[in-house]
Amino acid sequence: MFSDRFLYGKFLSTLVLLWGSCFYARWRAEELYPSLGQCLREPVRHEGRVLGLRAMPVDTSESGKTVIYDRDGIRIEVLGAGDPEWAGQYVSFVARFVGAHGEEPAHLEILRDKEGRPRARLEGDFPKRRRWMYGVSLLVAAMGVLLFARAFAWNLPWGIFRKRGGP
Amino acid sequence: MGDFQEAGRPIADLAAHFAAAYLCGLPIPSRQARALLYWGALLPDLCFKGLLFVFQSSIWFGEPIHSLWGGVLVSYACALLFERPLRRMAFASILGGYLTHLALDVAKDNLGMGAVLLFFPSMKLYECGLYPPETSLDWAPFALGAVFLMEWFRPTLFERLKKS
Repeated sequence: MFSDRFLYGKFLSTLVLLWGSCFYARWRAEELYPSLGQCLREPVRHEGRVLGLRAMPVDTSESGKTVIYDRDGIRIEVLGAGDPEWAGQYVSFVARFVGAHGEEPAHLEILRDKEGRPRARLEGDFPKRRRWMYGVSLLVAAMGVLLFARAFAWNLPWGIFRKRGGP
Repeated sequence: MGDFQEAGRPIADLAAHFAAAYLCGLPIPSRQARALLYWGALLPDLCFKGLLFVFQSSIWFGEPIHSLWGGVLVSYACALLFERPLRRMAFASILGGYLTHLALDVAKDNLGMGAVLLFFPSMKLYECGLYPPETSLDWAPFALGAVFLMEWFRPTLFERLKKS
């Protein structure tokens, strides 16, 4: 695949560096950007932490309550009647985690922007749109392959792309 | 809670990134460089989503690949797959594509939480807040249509420009 061992080493060490970066990011993110599940497991440590919760399904079928489920299936009950607009939709919001006091159950306070609006938004029928997005993305990837093949096509021994004109 | 932002548009997808890279690649005469620029624009999401869905990794595990640091490393690794005379061009083109991808993603509005881990290993997230993260799918058919048309008419267009 490669012309010499030195090149092979460079390729492998680049991948190792990339892989190491991924482990570092995951380790740092546990402290800086914990998930709701992590906050619930260690409420004292993560008290006051600001969380960005994305595209969570809203369920209003539970006896008039508005219930949201996060990515890990954690149940978030909206206090009060909730907003009927949310029903059957997906919602994203930014909230502060409050949970270390012990007497009340852990809760989330939705943050507000400068104009006083909640930092939240509806994501509509998220999964359906996502499927559509993947369909379009597949088409784009196919076009990328086509354009790549047109540029390098005639000699593609796997892994080595050569200058037009032949080996 | 009624007056929150209404986004409701699907995620910045490959079509938007491809169209942006296509636009940036128009002045580049080399077909090979252009093809690699397009792939550079697709690679951040392909690598990131690949880790996420194929390897079932956490979101944060894949984030470095979606940063400048990841861009340099991925471009370098990909450039090594090419023979020597093409390597520099490959590196620059793929990295160029990566940059168009990151620029488009940084422009998103992620409710003030930041959209891209731009300067990894710094863990700060960046966003410009210009458009909701899912707007681009509405534009995808137009973007792809424009790309198809440009690809179809491109030789004629450039011949005309040369003559004029």
